[in-house]
This record gives sequence, C-alpha cells and structure tokens, in this order.
Amino acid sequence: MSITHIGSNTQDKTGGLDLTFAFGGISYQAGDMGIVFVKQCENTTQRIWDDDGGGGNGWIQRTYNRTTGGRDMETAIYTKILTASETDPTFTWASGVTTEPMSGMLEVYRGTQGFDEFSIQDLQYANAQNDANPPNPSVNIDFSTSTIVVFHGATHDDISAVAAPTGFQLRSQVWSGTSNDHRNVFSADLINVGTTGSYTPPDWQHTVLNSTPEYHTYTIILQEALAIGVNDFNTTEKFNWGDTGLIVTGFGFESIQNTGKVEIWSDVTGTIKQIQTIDTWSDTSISIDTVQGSLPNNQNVFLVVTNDNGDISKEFTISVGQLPYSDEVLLLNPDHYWTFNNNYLDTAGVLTRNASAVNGSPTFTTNPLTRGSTHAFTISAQGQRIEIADSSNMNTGTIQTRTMGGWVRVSEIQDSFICFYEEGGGVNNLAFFMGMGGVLIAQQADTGDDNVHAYSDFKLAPNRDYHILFRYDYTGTDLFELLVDGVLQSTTFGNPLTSSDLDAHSGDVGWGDAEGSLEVFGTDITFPAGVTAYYNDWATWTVFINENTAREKLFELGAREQNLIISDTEINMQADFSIYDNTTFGNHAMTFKVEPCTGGDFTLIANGHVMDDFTSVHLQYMGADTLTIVNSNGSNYDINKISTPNGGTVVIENTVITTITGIPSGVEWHLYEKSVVPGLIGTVELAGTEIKSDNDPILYSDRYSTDTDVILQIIESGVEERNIEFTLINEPQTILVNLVTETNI
Amino acid sequence: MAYGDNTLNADHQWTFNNVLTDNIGSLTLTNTGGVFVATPITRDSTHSFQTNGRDDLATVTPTTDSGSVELSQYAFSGWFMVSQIQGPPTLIYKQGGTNGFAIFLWAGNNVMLQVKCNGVIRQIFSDIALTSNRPYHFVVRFSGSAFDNEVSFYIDAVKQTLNKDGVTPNGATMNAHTGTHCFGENGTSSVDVQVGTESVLVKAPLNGYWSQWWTWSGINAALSESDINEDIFGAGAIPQITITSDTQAAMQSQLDTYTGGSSNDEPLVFLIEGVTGDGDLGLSLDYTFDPRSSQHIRYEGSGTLTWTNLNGANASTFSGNVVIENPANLSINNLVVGSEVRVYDNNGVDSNDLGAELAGTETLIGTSFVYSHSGLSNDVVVQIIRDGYFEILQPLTLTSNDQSFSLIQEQDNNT
Repeated sequence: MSITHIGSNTQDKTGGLDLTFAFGGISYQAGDMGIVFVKQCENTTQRIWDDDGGGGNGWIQRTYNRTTGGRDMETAIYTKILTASETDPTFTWASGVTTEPMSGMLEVYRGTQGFDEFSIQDLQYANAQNDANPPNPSVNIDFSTSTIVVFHGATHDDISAVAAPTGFQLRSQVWSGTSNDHRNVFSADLINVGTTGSYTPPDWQHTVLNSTPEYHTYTIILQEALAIGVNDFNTTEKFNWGDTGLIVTGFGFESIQNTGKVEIWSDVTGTIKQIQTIDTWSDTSISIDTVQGSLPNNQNVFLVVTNDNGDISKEFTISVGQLPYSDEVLLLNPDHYWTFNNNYLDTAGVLTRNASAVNGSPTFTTNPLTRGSTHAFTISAQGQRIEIADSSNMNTGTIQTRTMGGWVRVSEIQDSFICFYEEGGGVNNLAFFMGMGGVLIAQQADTGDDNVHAYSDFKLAPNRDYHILFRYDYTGTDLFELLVDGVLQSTTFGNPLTSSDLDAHSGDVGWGDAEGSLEVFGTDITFPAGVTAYYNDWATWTVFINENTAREKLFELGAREQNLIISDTEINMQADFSIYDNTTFGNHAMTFKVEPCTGGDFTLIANGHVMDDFTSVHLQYMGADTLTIVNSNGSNYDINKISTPNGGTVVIENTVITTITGIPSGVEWHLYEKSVVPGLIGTVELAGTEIKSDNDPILYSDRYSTDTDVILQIIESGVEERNIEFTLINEPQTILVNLVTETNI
Repeated sequence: MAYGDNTLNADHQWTFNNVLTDNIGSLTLTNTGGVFVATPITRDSTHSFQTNGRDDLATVTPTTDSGSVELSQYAFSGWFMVSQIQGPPTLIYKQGGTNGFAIFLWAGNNVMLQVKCNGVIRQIFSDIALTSNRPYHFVVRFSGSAFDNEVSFYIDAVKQTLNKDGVTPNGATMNAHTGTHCFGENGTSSVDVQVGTESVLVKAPLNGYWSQWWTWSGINAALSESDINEDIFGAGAIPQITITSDTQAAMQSQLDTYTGGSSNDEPLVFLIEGVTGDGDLGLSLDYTFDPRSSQHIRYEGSGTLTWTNLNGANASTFSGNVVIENPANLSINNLVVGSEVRVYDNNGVDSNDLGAELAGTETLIGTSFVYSHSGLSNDVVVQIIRDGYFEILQPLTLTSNDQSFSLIQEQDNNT
C-alpha cells in the first residue's frame, strides 16, 4: 500500500506558550502516522519545546533545535502512530512567562509501517541565516516507494508568494503575506520518491522580498509498510563467528520456515552470502547458529531474512568480531569526526581542514595512537596549527550539551603552557591546555556566565597515548568535566554551571597553536602548540557521552596494545605469554591484548608481570568466554583494569606462597594432597624432588581455591620416614620443620 | 626561641609579620596593593602578607648576596598559602628576568620552579597540587658545579623529583639576575614572564599569603635536608594539635583524647612539647594521619620521644628526636595443645642460657601462641617443649610486619 496524505491542521498564535492541534477535521484511523512541526520565534531566552508526549498523549519528540544567529528560533518535530481515537495533543514551549509568536502544523499520512521505529527512515535538519527560500537537508533513501516530507520555518515575513520545492505538493502553511512576522511555517511532500541513495530535495520556491529571514528546514523519509523486516539481532547487534542461539527479531517472517532462510551478507549487495543454521523459527523471532563460510571477520556484515513467500527483508547491519575503531566511533553518531589517519577528512560531517588556514607545516607521520591507524597528525613546532570551518554544532551554535575530544601524545615534558585544541577566541572559548609538568586542563570560558577548569588527576607522561574528553550539560549535570582514558577526573574549578547554555563563540576552531591569546579566567594568555604532539580520532557531539561509553567505546576500543598474544592453543598461548615473565612494564594505555583460545575457556599464568600504576588497561581479552589470569611471583593484574569488549569474562586468581624451612640438601621430599583413603599418603603429588639440592627454604606456590590438607613426606637415608600434615590456606605461611636425628629406630 | 630567630645565617629575612622590612639586611620591600591580614601561616606570627588583587605585589631590588652578582651557592625559602584554585597562571615568587628564579602556580594549584641560568632552563614540578587554605613551605637551593651541581626544590621538606631536562645548573655559578624580587604579580601588569620559551602574562595569586621568606648565599646556602626538615620547615609549621609539657602520664592522657581520630591535611599534626624534666618520653596512639599531611610529629624536648603506633596507626614523618615503633605480632601456629612455649632474646651464651625471656607460657591453651613486640628487628629463639615430642629450638628474626609460622612438632617414639 503506497503512502497517502490524509489531512492537516495548522495552529498560529501571535502570542502563545503552547500549541494544541485538532484532529476534528482529519479522517484518520488506527495505524496512520501523525507528524507535528512546531516553531517559536522572536524571543531571546531559550525555553525548549517540552518532550512530554504532547501533553501525555504518546507523541515522540524526534528532534529539537534552536538557533540564535540573527533572530532566535526554536523548532521541534514530533511523531506518533495514531490510535483509533486520538486526544488533541498540546505541545508546550514555556509556562508562566511572556507569550511569544508561534505556529505549527499537524500532517497525517497512511500507509507507513505501523510501528514507530520503522515509520521514519531518516530525519535531517538544516539551518542558516539570510535565506527566505532555503534548501532542504539531504537524506539517504533505502526504498524508492518512500515519501519525502519537508518543513520550513522562517523568522521574518519577507515571503511574498509561497511555493513548495519543485515537484513537491504544498500541504500546509501559516502565512499571511508580509504581515505574519515570526510565524511563517510550511509543509510539503513528495509521494513515492522513485529513487534510492543520497537525495537532496529541491529548494523551497517561495518568492521573496529579500533574504533577511533565518530558517530551519527538515527533511523526513516516511517508510512505506513492508512485508518483512528485522529490528534487532542479539540485542547488541554484535557477535562472533561460531556464536550459537542468537535471536533475530522482526516481523513478517511467517510462522513456518519452509523455504525461509536467514543469510549474512558481506555487503549490502550480497557479494558473499552465507546461509545460517536455524534453531527455531516463528513469525517474529528466529534463533540461529552463526556460520562464517567465506565471510570476513572484524567488520560490519548484513543480516537478511527471506520468508516462505519470498519476501526479503532490508539488509540489517550487524558487526562481527571487532570493528575498526573508526567504525565504532561513528556508531556513536558524532557531529564531526576526524580520524587524522593520513587525512583531514570529517567522516561524520563536512568540516575538512581549511587548507587556507594552516600555520607552519604540520603533517602526518607514521606514529599512530589508535588501533587501526597508520598515521597521526603531527605538530613539530610551537607555531603550527590547523583549522576547520565554523560549525553550528561547535563554535557558532548556542549549545546546551556537548562532548568533544580525541587521542593525544607528546614526546616530552613541555616547558611552556601549551594548547592541544581550542575553539572560540579571546572571550568565549573551549580548549585543552597542558602545563606544569603535564597537567591537562580542559577549559570552558563563557565570560559573564561560566568560567570553568577541569584538571587531570595526574601529569600526562611523555610518549604515552591518552584519550582526552571534555563534556558539559546544561540540561542535566550542570557540570563541565574532563575524562582521561574514559575516567572522570576529580578536580574542577568553577562548577556548577550557572547559565543556560554556552554562548556561540565564533572564533576559529583549531588544533595546535592557539593563534593569539585566549581568555583564561579574565586574563589573556598566549598558548603555543605542544611539541612534538600527535593526534588521532577526534570527534564532537552535541550530546552527553557517559563514562561507560567514554571508557569502553572511545578509549578501550581505540587503545593500541603494547603486547599481543595471538589466538592459538592454550599451551602455545601460555608459551607466548611466558616470554614476558619477570618483566616490569612501562606506563601504557594498554599493556596486553589477548585473543581467544582455540579450545575455549583457558588459563594463563603470569609469572612476575609487574604493571605500572598509571597504566589504564592491563589486559584486554577479545574472547566471549572465560580467561583466567593467575597472578604469580609478584604479578599484579588488576580486575579493575581489564577490558572485555566482546563480552568475555576475565577471572584474576592470586597464588599463595607457602614457605617450608628446615629441610637440608640431600633429602628426598614430596608434598601430597592428603588422601581420603586411610593409610594412603596421597594420590596427587603437588611438588617434590628425589634429592634436595640445597639448604634453601622450599617455596610452594599454589592457586588458592579452598583450604587443602596436605602431607609433607620427608625421606632421609637411615632415618625413619616422616609424614607431616598441615593445611594450605589463603594466605602466605611458613612451615618450620625441625628434623631431629633419631638413632634408636 | 621563636620561629625566625634562628635563620641559619640567612642574608635576608622578610617575616611579613605586619612589616615589609628586612629583619637581617636592608632590603625593605615596596608594597603595591597588598595588605597585611591577621591570618598567620607560620608559628609565632600574627600576620601574613596577602595579595587580594591580581596586580598586587611586594618587590625589592637585589644586592650582591641576593642576585645582583654571580653566586656559586644560593638558596631561598618561605611559606605560602592560597585560598582557592587559581584560574589564570600566577606567580608566587620571582627573582631576575632573562636569568633567574620563578615559582609559578597554575593548573589546579600545581607548582613549578623554573630556573634560567647559563643558557639552560630547568623546571622542577611539584608532586602534589596545593590544598587551598593550607600553608606550604618552599625551599630552592642552587649549588654550582664546584659543589653539589644541582638545583633542588623542596615542598614541606620533601624534595620534588619530576623535572624537565634534568637539575644540573650547567655551570659553576648562577648568573647575575638584577631583576627585582617579586612576591605576587610580576611588577608590571602588562609584562610577560618567560615560561619555557613562551611569554606568558602571569598574575598574582588571588588571596595568596606569604610569611617568613629568607635567602642565603655562599656556604650558608648549603642547607642540609636536616636543616630544612628541622629548623626551616618543622620549626615554623603551625601544628594542628599541641601536647603541652607535663609528666609522661599526663601527656599520654592529653594524647588519649585523640584515640581513633584522624588528622587534617596539615603541614604539622602533633607538636609535642618536652616532658617535665626534659628526659626521654614514650607516647602511643591509635590515629590515622591524612596522607597529604606533611610532618606527623614534632618533638621539642631534648630527650628522645618513642612514639608507638597502635592498631595500625600510620605516623611516619617527624622532626626532633623521635623513634617510631610499629608493634607487630609473632604467631606460632599448629602447636600441640599443652606445649610449653618460650620466646628468648637469643642473647644468651649457650643452649642452657638462651637469653632474656621475652614471652612464654607453661601450658599452651589452644594451638597458637602469639607474641606482641615493638616491631623493631630482633633475633629471638622459640623453644617448644611437650612430653612425647622432641624439643624444638627455632631461631627467628622479628620484623616490623606481623609474622606467622607453623612449627611442626615431631613425636619422640622412644620416650
């Protein structure tokens, strides 16, 4: 069934604090899709459109945006799969304050997928100043039968005639010539777009008096109802080859498998396809055992279900093994992301380095900081710097929530106070500094509002990779914070935040030399670049990244291991591990990465592996099963510094040393686990020798699990055999043996 | 003797005790914006000098014993406190310009000493960030290549170790540095200071406090670590708690009121005055010292204070004649019930004289015997006697840690 437009309702207030849309004139039915676009304009104080379900009526806020360049504007999009009887929803912008101009529209469509996560395939937003017949943002279309809906909100009444984008049908408008200042909104659609892939709707075709207005535009793809679809795989969308019993959920699978099948494809075109083994099958859930066949590992692959009717689901993206770090970062939906892996591309946006704003000759060198990188952006002189263009998600927007950071390394202690990164300028800015022997400082300067520093709890060591991240949230924590290697640092100065947002700070955005002074708590300070400084994988979000994500995704998945134990048999992996016996390791982001054992659960004994106190991850285990690490002979693997990105378990066991003194050289001795059979010393010999070679104490090392009764057997020529009983316990102990020569036996 | 009366032959002494005069020399400071406040940060002071604005400072031009000519040995020290983390980079103290000394405060109240001399830059960084509203003591010691060949920086008598490019001064002398001595801002608000190779506009610490700054030159500048710990730092630290002079029993009673307590982050926690009669003194306490407190105990009597840490108490740093004991247990386990157990000092002459008996029991109840001792290292002999078993004479060395042994008694079948 193709998508059809059912009806509209518009609302317009010269002064209001909320908008209520009426279903009275719309012939809707259960399963139809409602879309609401609301706009407020003129006011200079942010109020934020509520996300309360349209007054508790189950509406989902899809997006909210505010701009302050030129005239203020706040807009939001809400959607709902309608029931048979809907209550008119109310969308509230503020209460108890002066009313402001506002307007909006409700559009109802039929024939979209009947549940929310499938109804909208994509939604994109754009804004700018001084454009009254603006462009619409681009979207990526999966199905040619999709419908495209566009909305336009304008700040001024400079549109003299209304016209939809070319090929689109105008559905609704709040417009009254040039006497409807602040309230102009428009909607239009294109049923059955007829194409797939990247698509940019034409510009709005209004006739305009001038280019004064600011705009917000939205492009939405409505998904036509599908016969079959997948909406979840193994909860996390991640797995390892050979995993069994993984659940595929969705719709339209049909209750009986018959000719139905589940395939995993190497790419969206299915260059390599591998049928998976079916455990159970129902209309909405399938259990599979994974089969690799010729498919690759450690990347995204695509799951496709075909039902007995021959309907084929859209390719569902899943990931097997460990994805490239850059893919993992992109899964967190940054606004902008620069890998700095031998290029300056913004792989999440369009802010590639501004080639005309480069100081000195920073370059790329083969000194990467992150897993999978081959190069790092490298600054080798204090005056060097690169910049990107302004971004409404960074320096030119008024932003309430922000997270930004990436990987850095310096080659030596810096003798000056240096800058890793800054955006803004002499008044308002965000920046990372370092000084005083390696203390890292994250700064937010919002003069007149909030000036905050967050400090690292330790001095960053030279030649050590670090992941650094600042974040602030005016809608939640009201704190500006610093995380290093995903760990929240404890000391800040200037918190809590007292304003409602960080003002736009339209100075440059750059890495390296700060290019002029930056205001630091009211004092203008010049900051050169760090030398030599290396950068990889910097990204920025207008959301709050929590500590688990920062630690497990941004840090642990990107850290390069100092030593790798590759997958093999347990014996061979132990041999590889033992190469590092009696080693004191340096300060690393991550000291060991251990791949899975071919035999499943396994144990590695660490003999004298001494980790540095400042190392962030002692060991990362890549398996999904259990690795037991035995701390022996001074090894200090810490369970709090273990990483298990693929769901595996690491158990740390500590050995207990029992010291036995008083047994001279030449004596035969054996330590047995005490037999439960009367008269029998023991069946399991734990340690011993025919002829003791010296007079030194015997050191017996044991992995403690429970108290164990043992028998020490001592056999001396011409002397009666001795059998001494004691118990191995969970703490070091010394057994003093006094051998008395008995001559009257 | 009040703090400041014994400066170990300093050339200049600015007490900042409501005056800017040089108590020893003639280098009276000039004040710009600073004030004296009744917030003493050293013993025996009533006031300190405060910078309550970013451009405040006290300054004076150096003379031959304080920087205007080359010096092969030179030192300075003083007390400083700040009331909050400083946002912009700030300056605690500076001498000279192109060559000279500077102590910076920034980055969460971390401290950096910078020495420029003989064409090199030496930077030494504090191991800690300064706690707000807590006095700290700094000592800077320059010793040319004919002497210790080292620039050193002490905070509360602890030598700071992290540095940039080493600590050798790259020459026999410190260059003449005629630029003014500045406490607080740099002298002119628009003039930058070189941090490394970069000019930085540094300000006075907002609400910084100074007290008792001294300078030495020549042989008098060869301050020992004992000098620093005992007479320059320890003598000037304001204690958190003072145990006043009395009999040993009465002083122990004073101390007992703090049983189970814990200290603040302070330069000095307990000041113990001399015991009545000025002899040796023994005190014990179950108490937890803040890991950031600098000196746990200072004893001002002429005898020796033996301080016993009870129940795992952690006193460890001190000035004066102090011996710290950490009691420990020797446990002998798995013994035959009813055994006779003796612990001797192992200072006897033969097997019939094992030395002084330290502990023992005629008839052991249970299977373990525990001997609690001072924690001092000592050689002992453990004797075990039991009918039907061979006698055991087991030598052991006591340590400051708890020790646990299992002694295996063998049956004597021919008894």
